[in-house]
Amino acid sequence: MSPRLDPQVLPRHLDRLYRAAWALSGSTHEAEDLVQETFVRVLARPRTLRGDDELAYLMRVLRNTFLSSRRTASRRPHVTAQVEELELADERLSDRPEHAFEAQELYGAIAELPEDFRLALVAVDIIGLSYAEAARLLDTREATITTRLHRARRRIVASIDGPDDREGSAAEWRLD
Amino acid sequence: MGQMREEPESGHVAADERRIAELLRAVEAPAPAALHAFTEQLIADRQPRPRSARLRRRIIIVDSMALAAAAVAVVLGLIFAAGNSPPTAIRTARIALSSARGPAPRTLVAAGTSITFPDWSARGWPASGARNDRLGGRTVTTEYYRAYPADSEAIGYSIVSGAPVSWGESGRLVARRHGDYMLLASGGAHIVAWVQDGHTCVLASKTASDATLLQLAVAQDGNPSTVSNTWGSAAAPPV
Repeated sequence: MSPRLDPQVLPRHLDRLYRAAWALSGSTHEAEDLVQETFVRVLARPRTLRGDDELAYLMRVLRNTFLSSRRTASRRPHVTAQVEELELADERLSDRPEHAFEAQELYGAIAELPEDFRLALVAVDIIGLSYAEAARLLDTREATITTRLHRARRRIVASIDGPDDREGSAAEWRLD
Repeated sequence: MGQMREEPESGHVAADERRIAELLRAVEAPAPAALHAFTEQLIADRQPRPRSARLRRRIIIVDSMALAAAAVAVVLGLIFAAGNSPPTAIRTARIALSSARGPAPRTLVAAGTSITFPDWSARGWPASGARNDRLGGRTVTTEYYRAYPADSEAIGYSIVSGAPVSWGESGRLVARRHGDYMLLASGGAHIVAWVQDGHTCVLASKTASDATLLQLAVAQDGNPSTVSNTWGSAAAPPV
């Protein structure tokens, strides 16, 4: 019999899911909303885990919540303005301005990756899923996850550290 | 034309992997305290209620201790973390009764929800402004409406992200076709609160009457069927 998700495990995964949501959305406030919505969805009705472990399941719900929020926004073409779009630095990091800046820079850079790359990087490097789990989550092959991850990491490192002159760094790697 | 098939060198790949891990470690960002509090509350709300008398006696003892601890926590919370306390309909209404911080977009979707603010211009209430706030770890999106042609009357409509919040005050529950609405009052202002698509919505005004607010809340131009009462569910806020 497949186990049901135990609500008591949610706090254990909160930090990782929050970071994942921040990397997906690029905004700390949107990340909070995404995690809240994810937990509300998860607890709204009993869910059965089918093979995936709980973290992979939570990541799946988070991704679906994120994508549906993006779809909802994109279906509304008449939005001509957003209220207070300026993202304020995280208040908790205000006593460490460099740290806050670096965090915003890193998560902001991840959020600007193409969606496929971003999801692969979030699933593996932030959530900590294996390549096989990420492949199942994103409904693709492990080889594709490997390629997307390489390209995503390269772009982030180049974005944070600046482009390097390593041989072949500008080449387009094969993408399935 | 085929895609380039050059594979990255394994040394470079490993270097990038190490560097990403290093960057993520360096900016280790824990979830905010308000999000932890929200999660704990959400889980607590889902716990089944004890039924047996024996169990109830035990719970009373534990509850008494918990109550004392909670009282201390509340006091400490008020002192040290007033900004992080959970939002209520009343606290949300204070935002709805405040001033706009920017112009109203043609269409505004409340942050963290899929609820679009209604266009009430045909009802004599064109949108006049908007603002976004953080309240106890939630995002509160507010649109303001001003009566036309007499613009002395104003209404604020706030929507809170996340699960329904508590009311903060007792009020009068009014049943309408699409669900139930809570009528509240605070500082001379009229407030109507309800739950739509799992999110708390609050209409508040210092000048418009209860009846006007209720009429607008029930009307919900565009999609009245989305108004659903969830008082009875586990997600329902305490009245």
